[in-house]
Amino acid sequence: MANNLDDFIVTYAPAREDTTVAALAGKATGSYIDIGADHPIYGSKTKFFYDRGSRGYNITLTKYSETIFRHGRSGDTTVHVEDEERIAQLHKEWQKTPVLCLFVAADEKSIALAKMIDWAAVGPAVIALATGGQSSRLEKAVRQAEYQLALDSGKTRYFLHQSKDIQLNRRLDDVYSPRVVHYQVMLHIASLRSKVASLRGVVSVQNDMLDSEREVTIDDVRFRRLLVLMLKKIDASVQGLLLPAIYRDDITPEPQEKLAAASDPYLFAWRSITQQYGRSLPGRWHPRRIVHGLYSRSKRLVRNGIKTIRRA
Amino acid sequence: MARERVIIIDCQLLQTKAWHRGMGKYTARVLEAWTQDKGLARRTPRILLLFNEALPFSNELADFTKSLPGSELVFLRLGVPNYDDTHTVSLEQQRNVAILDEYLAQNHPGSHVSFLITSLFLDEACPVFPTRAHQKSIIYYDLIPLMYVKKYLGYGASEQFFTRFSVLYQSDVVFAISETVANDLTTFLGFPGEKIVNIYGASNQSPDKRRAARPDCAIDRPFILMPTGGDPRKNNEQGVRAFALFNERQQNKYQLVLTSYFNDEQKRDLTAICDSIVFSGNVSDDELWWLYQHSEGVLFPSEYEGLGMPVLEAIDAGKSVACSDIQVFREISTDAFFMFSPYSIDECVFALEAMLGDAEAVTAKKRFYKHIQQTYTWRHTAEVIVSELLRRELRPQRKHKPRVAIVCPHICQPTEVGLWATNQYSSIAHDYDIDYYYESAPETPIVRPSHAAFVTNTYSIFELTEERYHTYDTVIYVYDSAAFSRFTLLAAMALPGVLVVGNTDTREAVKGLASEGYIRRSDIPTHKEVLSRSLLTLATADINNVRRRFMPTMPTLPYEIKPHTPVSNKIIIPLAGADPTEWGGAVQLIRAIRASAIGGGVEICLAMQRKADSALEKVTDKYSINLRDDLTDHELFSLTMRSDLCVIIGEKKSLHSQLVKLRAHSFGLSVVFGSEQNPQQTVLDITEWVKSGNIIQSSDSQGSSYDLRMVIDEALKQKKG
Repeated sequence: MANNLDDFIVTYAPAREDTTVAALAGKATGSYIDIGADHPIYGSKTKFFYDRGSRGYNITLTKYSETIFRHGRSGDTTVHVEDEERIAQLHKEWQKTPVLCLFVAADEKSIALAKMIDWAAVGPAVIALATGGQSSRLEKAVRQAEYQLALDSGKTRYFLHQSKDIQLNRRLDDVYSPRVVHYQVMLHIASLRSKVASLRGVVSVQNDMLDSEREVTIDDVRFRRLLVLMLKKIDASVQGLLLPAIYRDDITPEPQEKLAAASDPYLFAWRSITQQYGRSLPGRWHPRRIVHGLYSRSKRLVRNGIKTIRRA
Repeated sequence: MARERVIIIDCQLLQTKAWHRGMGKYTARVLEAWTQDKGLARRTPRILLLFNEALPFSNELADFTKSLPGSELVFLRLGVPNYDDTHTVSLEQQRNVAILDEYLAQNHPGSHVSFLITSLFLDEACPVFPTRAHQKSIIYYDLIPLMYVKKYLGYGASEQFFTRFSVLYQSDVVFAISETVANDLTTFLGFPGEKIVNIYGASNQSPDKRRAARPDCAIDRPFILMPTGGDPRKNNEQGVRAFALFNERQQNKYQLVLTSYFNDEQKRDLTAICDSIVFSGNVSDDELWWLYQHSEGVLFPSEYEGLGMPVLEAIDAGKSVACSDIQVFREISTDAFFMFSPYSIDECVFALEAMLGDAEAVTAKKRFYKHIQQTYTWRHTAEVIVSELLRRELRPQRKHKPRVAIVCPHICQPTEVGLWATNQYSSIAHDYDIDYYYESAPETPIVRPSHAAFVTNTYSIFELTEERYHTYDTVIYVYDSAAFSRFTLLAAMALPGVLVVGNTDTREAVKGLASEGYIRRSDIPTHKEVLSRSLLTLATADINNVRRRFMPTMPTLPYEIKPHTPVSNKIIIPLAGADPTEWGGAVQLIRAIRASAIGGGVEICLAMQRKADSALEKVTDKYSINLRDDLTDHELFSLTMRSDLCVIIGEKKSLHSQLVKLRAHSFGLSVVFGSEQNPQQTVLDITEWVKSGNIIQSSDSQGSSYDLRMVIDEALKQKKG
């Protein structure tokens, strides 16, 4: 059971480019090159790898980006796109080190720079080209370097070397699993956790107050029970048992091997349908929804409880 | 030692605004009759009237309760809904159950408690049953919000209304105020007949308490009284139109007095039709009595009523009544009133003329008044309630219930099968823990709201995972057709359970699944293979000897429908296909009927819950067919009820056709199955029906009848075996 926030994988990239690359490459560490990098955290395609100890290269489009990258990514090498001399040096460096992934943004400057790259010599495990603009012009060169299209997510086209085996379904289960949560969502959860903690304080005060008084009406008795129930819920949330409704078995897709092992074609079909449906509804057991529901319910309980006490 | 018996009556209704409206008056009169009649009071165990401390308890109410000898008052601080937040109704319901349980545990431990709710749908309160009550009963007034769903709720459904249904479904006995309401509970919600009792009603006040007071309105001529309201179901426009025509023929001799509140726009619209109408506004009981006494007669053109108290009041005043020919008035009497179709102005004019011009007929009709007055008394109502409460055994709640999943077409879609499967809930929920898994066909309109979602767990069919499947004791798959039940069939093949099918061929559904890529073409099973994968298969015909013979049943209506007088050979053809191309069979049949010898002698109505397309409209225009589309359940059922023959087009033994047939039979209609391949044969059948005076011998009653309870029992038995 996923009962702790730490069990979730945080993605920073807008369309999960980071976790997709990790899934396609089969590993979450390795050097990266991000041509057209914009921010070290928000919408970053490389922060995911940086968090896991990997270091790489960021080619920024603006001076501002360059500055914040130097601050936020002290371990990385950051260069402005117009610093051609330095980039030429780096190109030689890339050919010597194994590169996990090369991201190219869709703007003109990034594409112009990417055109100069010798793909075969650099040899990244995954090439991720943002779609739009003239990015399709890069594809010819990429294909000539014996890369093949592994996945088109609509926003990004991912290329893998022809020698690699593409087991898409198996890998994409890890990308679109409800366990993968966006960074913004995690921020939201954190703020809700603090609110829940403060609510817990309010409830404890009310509970103490009731303890010191005699139970006179049915409402007092009833209210005390509600408080006890609520305290349990809030305790559970604050102690990290935040997501009692999530059972990993319910939401994690079954491994492809197990699916294939079902000899019955109808059972196989039904399994895939129910799993697809489960995946298409991340909102249902989404951590944000669950915490928010819990928070608003607790708030309502406290509000009603206080009203009841006043009336009595 | 015999346990003490206590009857607790939830009287929160009397603390709300509804106290001066129909429901409040009804409850107050019943309580008076119950407690003030010595004979009844002697038979009745201890009565406790439950009031809510959080709601006002006026001096008027205090005086009223003092006039109820032998009853004790109980005040509890029960929760009330807060309309800022839509979830509060269910939260307050839960809270109230706990409060009531606690009260019973502390004050009546060991007693046998009967709990009676006098009204469920109150804006200001949340009446509930305590779980500790041994007998739960409820007075039910009407299903108007559900029947007129477009006006009152919308298909999105009103949470406030449906949340209270969970309480209705817990009741052991429902006291309906008329046979019509009792039948509606069965027709729309599937309540079994033995759970419902008609308790009648009476006119509001007893004659000895009445005082007459002239209301302040511009009455200057003899007048006809129309006790009504601004609601569309009151059918005011038709009534006023008919009166205008009638009054013109009588040289404007009469006025028409409309009671109750109307807004300016409604007043303007009605005055534009006829200027001899007077709006009395809301009047007091005394003023209303004056209007009854001084009127020349009473006109009541309503389309639907729960009881129709004004008719009973008119009888008390000794006035003639011209009212619409609807079930609720027919059950009061088929002879005492001048009846007309609520949709026919001519019939209404004719009824008014007879009422005011034919003295002999008036005298003849008034002879029936005495009998009605003897039946419809508050004492009778109270007596029925008391005897039913004492007669019925106290059912303990079943502790362990087998878990059952029912997979069927979505109740909101235009198919009888989903409605049928869902409506079985009320009769089986006491013994089984039921979850519904609904399949929705794409691009199909929603024709009714889903009350099931407020009463039990409902899921999408795709949520029936293997893990969930193993948590159920049995899973029932109800297959309708390729359009509505493809995935039901696939699920039934993957996760075997009980499959209920008509003799519909499943090959089309399986091919559909293959063409959409869910199964490989090489894996397409034959019809026989599909059926043999289930643990138990029930079908309406034998094909491969792999299934059990099956005829679906519908709960019998608790009261017989009073048949209307057939005025013409009226044929209804209900169309319910998921796909407009299926309407072709109806078009062929219409052509064949119009071309035959009976051609012009029958009135044909094509009824459907979807919207008709322009091609169908052209055909119906050409052959002068009455096309009624986009109908709600209530509209479709009342249209069916007013017809003489139902022609069902499509596979005769399919589950859907069988259910439409059962529905038509329950309304007292004859049924003919129309064949798409051979419309001439259908025409012959209809001709025979016309010649024989609208009688058809029902021929197919082979096979044992099943409701879902029997299916579940059999599946559980087989599992054990």
